[in-house]
Amino acid sequence: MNKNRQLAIEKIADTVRAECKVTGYGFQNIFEAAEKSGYQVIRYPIGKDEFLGFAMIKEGERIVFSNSSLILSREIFSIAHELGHQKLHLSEQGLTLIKDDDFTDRDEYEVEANYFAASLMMPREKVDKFIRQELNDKSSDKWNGLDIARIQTAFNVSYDMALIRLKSLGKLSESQVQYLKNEKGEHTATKLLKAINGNADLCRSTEAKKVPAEYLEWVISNYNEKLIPRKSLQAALSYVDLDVEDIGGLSEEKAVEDDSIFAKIGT
Amino acid sequence: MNSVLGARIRSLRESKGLTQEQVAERMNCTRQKYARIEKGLVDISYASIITIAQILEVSPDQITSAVNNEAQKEPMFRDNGASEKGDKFQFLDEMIDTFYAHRKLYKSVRQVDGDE
Repeated sequence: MNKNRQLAIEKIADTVRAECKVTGYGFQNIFEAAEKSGYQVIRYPIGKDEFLGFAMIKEGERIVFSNSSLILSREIFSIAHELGHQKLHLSEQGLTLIKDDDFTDRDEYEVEANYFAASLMMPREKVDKFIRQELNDKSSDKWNGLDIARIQTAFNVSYDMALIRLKSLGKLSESQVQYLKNEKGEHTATKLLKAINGNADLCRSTEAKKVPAEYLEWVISNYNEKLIPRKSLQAALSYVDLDVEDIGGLSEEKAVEDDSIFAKIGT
Repeated sequence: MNSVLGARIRSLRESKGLTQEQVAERMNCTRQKYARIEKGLVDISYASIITIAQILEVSPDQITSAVNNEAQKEPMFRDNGASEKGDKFQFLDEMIDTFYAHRKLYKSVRQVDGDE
């Protein structure tokens, strides 16, 4: 990837941060932010050994998917990476789907999506600001695992991603990265995060089953309009572990099975 | 979606041995207008679906079952333990298709409501 492309991607990432009104260091909730900027966000626990995510255009709508069986920091990165595919690759060359088994830099698209995600999650100037204001400009050869945990918490990223990004920004040398990786090995990122009252949830998977609220609105509305039978409603709700009884606002009349509709409409 | 619903209505009508004229007459509309419904050339309102269902003596969901069938998918995490990579994507793809089938039905009803 040449410098011009890098700069172009950084600019797009900045635009997305602005769209999502991220003013702090990291995204408070990247899933909500992506929804607010018009993406349909789907999260599903499909297993630790499965693919990480995909980006898709369906009937003109843009969908990003992340596998919620992975630890939260990894899932957050997945969404950032898929947003990168959405912004940089989908529909440009007639592509409507990119599925990611892993985020290794196999091809140009992956390199670019990773670069986008890194720029989105940890922009250069925000990292500089954090080091200066929060780490009191402490020299990076004095950094320890707790400092990385603080960076993790501020930017909502994984320990490893923080190291990779800090190295690519020229903040850490390879030997420092190795030292800090060993710190994590001894203490584990969870303990480091707990020690600083950081967000230890980043190290756990959420197993979330989420589809956009409008998906359920379509289904519930179709049922309320008596366009679909209860079993179709149930089938759709079961994708997100809901029962018909869990849906508030269905009146008694609306819950009547379809066979009796004719009596009600006055045949 | 309208063409799917139209085709469904046509086959239900034919299975009842009714002509387009007969149905149109009972709907108080011209045969030409009714024919356009079967061809999917006009948006079918929910009210029309109900009326046609009454005339054809079927339940409305027999007309809209093109969508309903979509929704009857196997749940994830089957217990056979034999799922391979790819299955999960297929599952998600089907889930998305299901919701989009509901979306089409939702939109097809709303559009007409908005026009009236």
